[in-house]
Amino acid sequence: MPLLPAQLERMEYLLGKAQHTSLTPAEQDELRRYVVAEQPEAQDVTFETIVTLGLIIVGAYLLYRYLESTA
Amino acid sequence: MEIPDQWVGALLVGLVLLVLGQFLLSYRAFYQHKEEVRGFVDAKAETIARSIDNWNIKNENCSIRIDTIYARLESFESKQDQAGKDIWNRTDQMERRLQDNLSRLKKDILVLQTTSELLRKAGLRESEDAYKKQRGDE
Repeated sequence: MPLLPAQLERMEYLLGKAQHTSLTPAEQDELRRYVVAEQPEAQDVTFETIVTLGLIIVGAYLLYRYLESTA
Repeated sequence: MEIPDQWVGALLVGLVLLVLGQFLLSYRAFYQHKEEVRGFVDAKAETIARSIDNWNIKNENCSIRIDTIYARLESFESKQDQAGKDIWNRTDQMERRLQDNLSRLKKDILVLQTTSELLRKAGLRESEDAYKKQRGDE
């Protein structure tokens, strides 16, 4: 994964915040940067798509962490 | 004055000879004209016969060409039928292949949708937990 664990945790926080309140433009840009780092084709997609992709990336990261812990 | 009998006789004989001569000349002229007409008619008949021969030859050539055209047309129709069958066979094959690909694609999309939905739900829960935890820490 190109993202560092700290970046993923930050992304988790931003995504959680996006479910409850709206993100500031700076936070939206930060979240977009993280998602684009994982998926460069998401450069010009809407913020809604960025959130969906971010949630999938976090889910995959969880699965990865679980598999790594059971290995 | 009295005309002598010898003069009358000589005149009559002369007249008869003159008539006979005229008759001979007329007959000869008529015969010559008849020969000319016959020659003219023969020449015309020969020309007509030659024209008919030419026409027959042309007609025969036309018949041969028509036969050739019919043969080509039949060949073309046969090829066209075969091409039509080939096209439909290929279309059927392509349709079957496309349907197979489409069903595989639908299956892949369903798998991807399910996977992404599961991952999204897991990510949603984890991110909400992370947000609440960090907000609680603050």
